[in-house]
Amino acid sequence: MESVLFYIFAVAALISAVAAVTRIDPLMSALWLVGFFIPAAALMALLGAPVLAALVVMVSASVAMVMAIFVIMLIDPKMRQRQRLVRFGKILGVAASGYLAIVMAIAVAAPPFTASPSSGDYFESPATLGRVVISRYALPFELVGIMLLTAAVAAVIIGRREASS
Amino acid sequence: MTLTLQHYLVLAVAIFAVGAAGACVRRNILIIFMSIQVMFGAAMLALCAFARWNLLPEGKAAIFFVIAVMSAQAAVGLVLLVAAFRRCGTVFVDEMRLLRD
Repeated sequence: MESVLFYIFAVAALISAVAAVTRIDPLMSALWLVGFFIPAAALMALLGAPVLAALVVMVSASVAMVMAIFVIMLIDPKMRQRQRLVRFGKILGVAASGYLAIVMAIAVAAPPFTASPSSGDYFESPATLGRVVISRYALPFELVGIMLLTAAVAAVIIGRREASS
Repeated sequence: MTLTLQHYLVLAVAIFAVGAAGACVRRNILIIFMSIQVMFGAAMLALCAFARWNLLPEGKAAIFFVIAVMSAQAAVGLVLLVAAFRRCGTVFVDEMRLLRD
């Protein structure tokens, strides 16, 4: 049952990832990206992290996509599409990524192939994650909060129109 | 057929390579941005699989921080993108030639 679900979500995630990077129109690309994050979140739920799955759907698939679509709508449709053309750089990019994939696949494809250990309530419980984040990783947690605040302030400052010009 | 750690890792590698190819090949800055998000998703998947197989909740905490970094990247990145579009009038990275012109 678990492997059937894995293959369904894996195929869905791969197809939507490929579609997201190959569409000409960025709007379609953004919609495919939402379609990528949902099976990715489902895979995380399958891996015993339901809280993170919910977070990924809420943060990535919703907030980021609302912002992306907002930005895409801001840009004139005629300005954002262009015909496909094949260039040396594209061939090189695909070749480099394929090489990267092969090297990483060789690196991870070494035995032992073991089934997952039974996870139990301690690992899957949201309380465990909360306790780890608040106690042992309290300082990184606060730093992330400061980073998000800085990012929000930076976004406002960069994004506002120049008053003088 | 049982699932192994390698199943998840190979899937993550494949998705990461798709994202990397998109970031290298595409010239539209919006799609480059989304390719980076695809790569983030692949990295989160690999971290989640490692956390599950080693039964370490710390791995899930790392994903929590990755999500936070990703949202900060989304906020600043999108605003930078809008600023670049206002200045250059284009969303294609090969047409942004402020230094050359």
